[in-house]
Amino acid sequence: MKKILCICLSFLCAAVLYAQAPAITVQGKVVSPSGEPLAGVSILVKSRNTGGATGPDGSFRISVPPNSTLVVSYTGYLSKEIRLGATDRHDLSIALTESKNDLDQVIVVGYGTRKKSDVTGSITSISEKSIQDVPAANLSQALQGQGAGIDIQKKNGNSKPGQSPTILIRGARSVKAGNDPLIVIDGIPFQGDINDVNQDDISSVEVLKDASSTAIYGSRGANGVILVTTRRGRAGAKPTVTYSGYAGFSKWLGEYPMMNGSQYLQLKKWATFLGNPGTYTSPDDPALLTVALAPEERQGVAMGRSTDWQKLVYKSGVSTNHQLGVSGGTDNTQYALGAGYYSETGIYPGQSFQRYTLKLSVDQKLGNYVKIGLSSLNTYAVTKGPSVNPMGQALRASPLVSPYDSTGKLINGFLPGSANQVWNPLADFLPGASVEKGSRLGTFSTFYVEVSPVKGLKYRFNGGAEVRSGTYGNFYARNTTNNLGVMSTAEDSSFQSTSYTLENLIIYDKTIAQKHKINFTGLYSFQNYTPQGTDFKYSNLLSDQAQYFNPAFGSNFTGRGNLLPWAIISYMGRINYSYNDKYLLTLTMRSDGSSRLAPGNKYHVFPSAAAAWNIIKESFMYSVRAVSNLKLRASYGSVGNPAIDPYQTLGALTNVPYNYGSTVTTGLYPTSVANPNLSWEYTATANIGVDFGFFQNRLSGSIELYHAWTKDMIMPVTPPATSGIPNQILTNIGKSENKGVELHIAAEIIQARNSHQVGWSADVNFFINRGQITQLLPTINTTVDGRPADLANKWFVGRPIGSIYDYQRIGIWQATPADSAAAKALGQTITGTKSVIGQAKIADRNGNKVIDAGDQYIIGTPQPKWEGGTTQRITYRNFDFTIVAFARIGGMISSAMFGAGFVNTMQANYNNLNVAYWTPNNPTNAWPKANSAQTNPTNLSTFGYFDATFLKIRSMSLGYSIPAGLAKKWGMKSVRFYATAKDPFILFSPYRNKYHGLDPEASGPKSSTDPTVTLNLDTPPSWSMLFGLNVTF
Amino acid sequence: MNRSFYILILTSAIAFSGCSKFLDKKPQTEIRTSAFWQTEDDIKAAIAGMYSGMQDVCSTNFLFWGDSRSDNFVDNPKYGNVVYCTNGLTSAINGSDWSPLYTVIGRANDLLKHIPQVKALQPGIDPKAINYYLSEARNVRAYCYFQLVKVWGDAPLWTIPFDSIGIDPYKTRIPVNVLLDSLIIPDLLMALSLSDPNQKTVWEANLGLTYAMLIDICMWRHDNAGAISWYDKLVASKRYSLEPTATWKNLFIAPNKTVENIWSIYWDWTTDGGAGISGQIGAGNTNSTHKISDVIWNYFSATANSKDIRGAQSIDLKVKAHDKTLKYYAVNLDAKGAQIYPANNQANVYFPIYRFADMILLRAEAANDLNDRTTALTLLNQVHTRAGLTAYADTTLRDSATMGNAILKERQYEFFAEGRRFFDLVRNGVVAKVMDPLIKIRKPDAPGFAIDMRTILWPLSITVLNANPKLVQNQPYN
Repeated sequence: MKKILCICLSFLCAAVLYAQAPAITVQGKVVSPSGEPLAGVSILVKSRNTGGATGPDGSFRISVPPNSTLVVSYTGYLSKEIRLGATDRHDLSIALTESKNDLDQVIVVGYGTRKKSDVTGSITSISEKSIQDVPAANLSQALQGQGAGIDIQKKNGNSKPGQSPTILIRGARSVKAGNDPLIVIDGIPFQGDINDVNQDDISSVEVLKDASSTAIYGSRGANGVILVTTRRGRAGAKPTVTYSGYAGFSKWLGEYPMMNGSQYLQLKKWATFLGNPGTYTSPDDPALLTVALAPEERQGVAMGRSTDWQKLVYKSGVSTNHQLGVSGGTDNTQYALGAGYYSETGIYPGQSFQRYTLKLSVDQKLGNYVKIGLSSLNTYAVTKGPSVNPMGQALRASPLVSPYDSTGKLINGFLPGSANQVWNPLADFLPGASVEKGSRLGTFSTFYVEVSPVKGLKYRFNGGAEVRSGTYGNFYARNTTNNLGVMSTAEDSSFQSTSYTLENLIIYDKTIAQKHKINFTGLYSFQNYTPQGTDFKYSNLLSDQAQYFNPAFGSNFTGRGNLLPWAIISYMGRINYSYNDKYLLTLTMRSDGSSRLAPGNKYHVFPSAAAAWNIIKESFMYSVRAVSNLKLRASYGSVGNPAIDPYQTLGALTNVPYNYGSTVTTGLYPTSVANPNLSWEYTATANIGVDFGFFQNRLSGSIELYHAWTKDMIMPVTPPATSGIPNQILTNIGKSENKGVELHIAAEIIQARNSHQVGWSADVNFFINRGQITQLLPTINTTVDGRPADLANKWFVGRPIGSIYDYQRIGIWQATPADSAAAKALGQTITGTKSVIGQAKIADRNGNKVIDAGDQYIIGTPQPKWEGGTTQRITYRNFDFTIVAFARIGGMISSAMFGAGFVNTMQANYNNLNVAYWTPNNPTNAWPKANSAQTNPTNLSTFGYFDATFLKIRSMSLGYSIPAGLAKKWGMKSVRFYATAKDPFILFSPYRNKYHGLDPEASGPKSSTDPTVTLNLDTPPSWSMLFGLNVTF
Repeated sequence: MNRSFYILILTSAIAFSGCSKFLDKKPQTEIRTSAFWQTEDDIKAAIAGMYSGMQDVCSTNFLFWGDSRSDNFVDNPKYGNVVYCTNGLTSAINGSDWSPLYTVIGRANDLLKHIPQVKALQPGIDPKAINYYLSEARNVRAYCYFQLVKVWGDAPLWTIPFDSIGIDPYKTRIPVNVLLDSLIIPDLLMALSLSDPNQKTVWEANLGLTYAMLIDICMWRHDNAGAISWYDKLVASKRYSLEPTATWKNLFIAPNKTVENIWSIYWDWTTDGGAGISGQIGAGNTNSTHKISDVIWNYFSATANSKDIRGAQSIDLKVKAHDKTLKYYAVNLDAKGAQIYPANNQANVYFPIYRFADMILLRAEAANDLNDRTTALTLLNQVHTRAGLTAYADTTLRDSATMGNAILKERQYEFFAEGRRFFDLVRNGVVAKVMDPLIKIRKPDAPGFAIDMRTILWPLSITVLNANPKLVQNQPYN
C-alpha cells in the first residue's frame, strides 16, 4: 500500500510540475529473462528525478509527461530506456536482461564484499549463469574459457571421467612449489578435491588475480585465489523449488590413426627387409614372411583380416545429472537446500565418475544485532578406473590377429605376433579381472556469527570444519594387460583428513562528512590441517575373488603410512578509504606464521597497496554521455607460495627392507639434509587496470596489464654424488617473471525490447601471458643462447617453464651419395642396422662437424601466443541459444603418441601409427624408416613436437522455455528444455587436422623431473550430446 | 546481545594464548635425523641400510666394471650398447656413475660418526657388539674406496657424513696412493683390531673380508710378500676352505651353506626388485644386453672340456644366441629340459664379492711372481681339480709366463661373470695384449687400449661431473 501511495504521490508531483502538458499513465510489468516478475525495479523519467518502483508482482503504474523516456534499472540487470508517446500505455511489458558488469553489483573480495565500483584490485567475477552454461563434470571444467588470465587445461591431456584439470592463473611461476591457486569456499580455505564441488551449488566465483586482492591471503596468494560462494536463500523470497537435470551419451572424438591389416603387413615387410640388410632380396621375399609374421598373422593375411582393436575396446558413455533445490526466506530466516547426483561413464569400460552431493544453508537473524548462519556441503564421489590406461595394449595389438582363438574363445594371454608383449586388451573386460575404484566422502561446513553492537562496527566469527575420508583400491588379475600373466597384484589405501579454520573478523565502517568513507577489516585466524593415510600393496593372491579387500590372501606385502599435519596462524588488516567515491585506496597487510617453516623463521609479512580513480564520477565526464563507466586502477603488493611439505626443513631418514638371508630387517639411511632456512616463494605483482562501460554499459569491460616478479623460487640443489645424500636439497634461489595483458568485454549487441525480438549478448575475453625463468642456481655453468641453462631439469633463463629442448630435425637422411657423405662427415653410422639413412637428419647447429649434445636447442615453449574465450547468447521468442568457446593460439606440445615410441616404434613388432614411413621407394622427409633392428627410430622424440593451437567449442546449447502462462497453468514458474552438444568441435588445430591427433589440449609437466608439457597416450577424449530440463516451481 | 559479544571476544583471546605451540608440529611418520641414533636397534637398522646400498652398487655395475670390458662378454648389438667390449666408453655410459659407492660410503660414515654416540647413551651394550658394528662399517667403506680406485683412480675423500648444509659438498679428487695409504688400509687395520672372530655370517663384512681385501690390495700393488703374509693369517684363521666339486653351484645360489664364500650380497626381489644383472646376462622376459664371448663359449662347449663342471653350471649351452648365463640361478628346467629364467624384475642374484678360491689363486699368482712355481702349482691345482679336471703336471707349466697364463685362465673360467676378469687383466698388465686383438675383430675402427693406456680407467659420468665443479675428467675422456 505504501508503495502505491508513494507512486501516487510522485504522480501528483509530476502532475503539478508538468501541468502545461497533460500527463499520461503508464502501466505494465517488469520481468526477468525467464519471465519471472521483478519486484523493486526503479522506473524513473530520464533527466527528472521522478518515477516509481515495481510492486511484489512486478507491476507498476506511473504518470509521466508525454514523449518522455523511462529509465528502468535494477541491480544485476542492464538498464533499459523506453521512449513513450503522447498517449497512455497499459500493457507495457519490460523484460530486463542480466548484466555481468553492473557497477552496483556486490562482489566477494575475500573477508568481505565490495561494490564493484569500489573495487581497486584485479578480480574476475564469474556469474552463476556462466558457470552453468557448460554442463561440466566439475567446477574447474565449468570455468574453462570464462575469464581472462585463467588458463584451464586437461592435465597431460587426461580425458577420463572424474579428472580435474590444471588451473593456472596468470601463468606458471614456480618450478617446484606448485602453481595451483588457493580455493576458498564461503570464506574458508578448501583442502578437498575441486572435483567434489558441485557447480550447481554455486552462486558465484570470483578469481583474485593481482597482489592487492590476493595479499589478504598472504603466504597462499601467489598463485591466485578462487573464491567460491555457494547458494543461499534470499530474504523475502517465497519458497522456490527447482529441478534441473540432463542425460545424454558421449562418443570418442576420434580413433588414434593406427594401421589396418594390410598397412601393417607392408610395414612388417619393410621393417624386416630394411632391418636385415643383405638378408632378403626384396620386402616381398617369401622367406621374409615366415620370419616377420607369426603363423596366426600369416593366416590373418590369407583371410584378409584387419581387426580394429579400438572399435572393440571403446563404447558409448552415458552422462546423467539430477539437481533438486529448495530455497526461500523471510526477513529473519533464509534457507537453501540442494541435492545432486552426477554420473558419467567413460568411453572405456571400467572408467566412470559418480558424485552425490547434499547442500544446506541457513541464515538467521537473532534480534537486531546478531545474525548467525550455517552452510554445509557434503559429497560422496566414486571414481572408477582413474589410472587404467588401456591404450598401450589396444593400440599395439596386431591387426592381423583376432582376439579370439580358433574355437571362438577369448584369448586370455599374449596375442600372437607383437613379440609376445601385447596382452589381449579384451581380457581386462572379463568380470573381476581389472578393478580400480576410489571413493571419497567429504563434508565441508562453515558457520558464522555476526554481531553489530553499534552502527558501523561488526564483529564476525567464521568457523570452518572439513572432514574428508576415502578409500582407494585396485586389483589386477594375473591375466590382464597390467600383469601380463606374471601374478595378480592388489593395492588398498585409505586416507582421512580433518581441517578446521577459525577466524575472528572486526569490520568497521565510517563515513565522515559524507565524503570520506573508511572501512577497516581486521582478522586473526588460524587453520590446522591433519591428513593421514595408509597404503598397502601385495601380490600373488590366492583367490582373485577377494580382489583388494582381504590382504590375508596375498603375499609380498609392502606398506606405508603418513601423518603430515600443518598449521597456519594469520593476522590481517585492511583499510579501504574512498573520497567522494572518486578516489579509492586500499592498504592491506598480512602476517602468516606457518608450522612448515623452521623455528625462528616462522613468520612473514605480506603488504600491498592499491589505488583507483573513478573518472566517471568527475564532473567533466557528465557531458560525455556515451561513457557510462570509467575507472583507473593500480596496485602493487607481495604474496607467497607456501608449497613446502611439512617437515621439509628437517633432515630425514628413509627406510628400506633388507634381508640378511634369513631375517628381514628394516634398514634406515639418511636421505635428506636439513635446511632450516627454507622459506616460501615470494611474488610481487604490479597491476594497472581500466574498467570501462559505454552506452548505459551495453558495452563494458576491463583491461589489465600486470608484471609479476617471483623471487626465492624453490630450486633443488643436487648435492654431488660423493656426499652420499641422494635427495635434492631445496633452497630459495631462483627467480621468475610473468607479465601480460588481459581484456574482458561484455556486450549487449542486440537488445531485445520484447520477447518477440532477437537478443544477442556476447562475452569475450582475451589474454596474453609471457613467463620466463630469470635466475637459476649460481653453480649452473651450462648455457643456452648465452644464458644460463639447467639442462638436467630443462630450465632455461629467459624462457618459460616447460620449454622444449631437443635436436633440430631438418628431414630424413636419404639414400643418396650426397646425404651419405654428409652424414659420414658428421660422424654418423651409414652402414649396417644402425645406419642413419632413413632416420632423422639432425642439424649440426653448433657447427662442430659432429652431432652431439651441443646441437640441441629450444624448439618451443608451451606458452600460447594468446588465449581467449567467448560466450555468445542469442534469444528469440522462447528460444535461447548459447555457445561457449575458447582458444589457445600458438605454443607447442610434446605428443607421446608420435614421439615417445610406444605406438610409433617403426619396429613393426607392434602395430604402428599410420604414417608414411621412409622406404627407399618413399624417400619422405617426414617420417623415419621402418626398421626391425631398432627398438625406436633414432631421435624419435624430434617427431613428437606440434603446434598446440586450437579453438574448442566447449558447448552449444539450444533451449526452449515454455510460455510463462502455460507454465503457470501447469503449476510451475518456468520450464525450459534444452539440448547441448558438449565439446563437439576442435577447430584450427594443425595437430588434429594435419596429423590426425585427437585433442591438443594438455597441461602440466611430463614428470616431476621433466617440465615439458606432454600429451599422454591415454583414453581418447570424447564429445557428448545431452538433453536437459530446468523447472522452477 | 552484548554478553555474547564479550563471550566471543573471550573465546578468541583463549585461542590466542595457545598459538606458540600451535605452529610446532612434530613428524610422527617420518624419522628425523635428530630423533635417531638412540639404541642398538638404531645401529642395526643403519647397518642394514648400508648393506642395502651395496645391492645398488652391485646390481648392474658388478658386471660393467669387472666383466663387460673383458674377453668374457660381447655386447649384444640389438639390445646392448656396443661400446663396453670395444673400449668405447663415454661419460654418458651406464656404469660410469660412482654415486652408488659414495652412497654406501656416506652411510658407513654416518655409522662411524654415530655409533660412539649410541655407545655413550647406552653403556649397557656389549662392547664387542659395538666394535663389530664399527668394523663392518670400516670394511664396507674400505671396499667401496678400493672399487673407486680400481675403476676411476683418484677420487674425492669423505670420512664424515654430509648431514648439514654447512658442510662444503664439493671436494677434489685425491690421488690413489693417498686413498690407499691414508684411508683404505688404515680402515682395514682398524677393522682387524675391532672385528669379532666369531662372527662368520657370509652376508656381513666380517674378519674374512678384511683379510681378503688386504690380500687383494697387496696383489693390486704387486706387494707379493704382503699378500703372502695376509694369506697366511687368513689360512691360520681356519675360516674357509674350498667348496667340494659336487656343491660348487652353492657358491652362487646358497653362499651361506658353503665353506668358501667370504662375503656375498643378499638379494630378495620381493623387497629389492630384480637384480639388474639378470637383464644383462639372463632373464626370462627380456633379451640380454651381453652375449657370452667366443673365448668362454668355445672353451666350455669344447668336448675336451666337458669334464669341467663349471661350464654347464655357468652358461646355458643350449641357447644358440649365446646370451644366457645361468651361473646365478638354481637348476629349474621345463618339460623340454631347458632352463627357465626368472623375469628380470624377479631375479635374485647373490653377488659373490670374495671367495676363498680367489684368495688361493691370488696366492698362486704371488708365488709365481716370486718364482716359487711349486707352491703356485699346488694352489692352482686345488682349484683346477675341484672343477673336475685333471691336475696340471709340473712339466706342463715350466716357466713363470706359462704358469701365470694358466693361473689367469683358471681365474677366468672359475670367476666368469663374477666381476673379476677385467681387474685380473689390469693387475697383470695384459689388458692391451689380451683385448686389442679381440677389439680389432669386434670393431675394426676401434682404437683398442694400447694407443692410450689411460682408457683402462673409466670416465666420470657427466652427471657426476656437472654436480661438482671441482671434479676433473679422466683423460682422454671428455
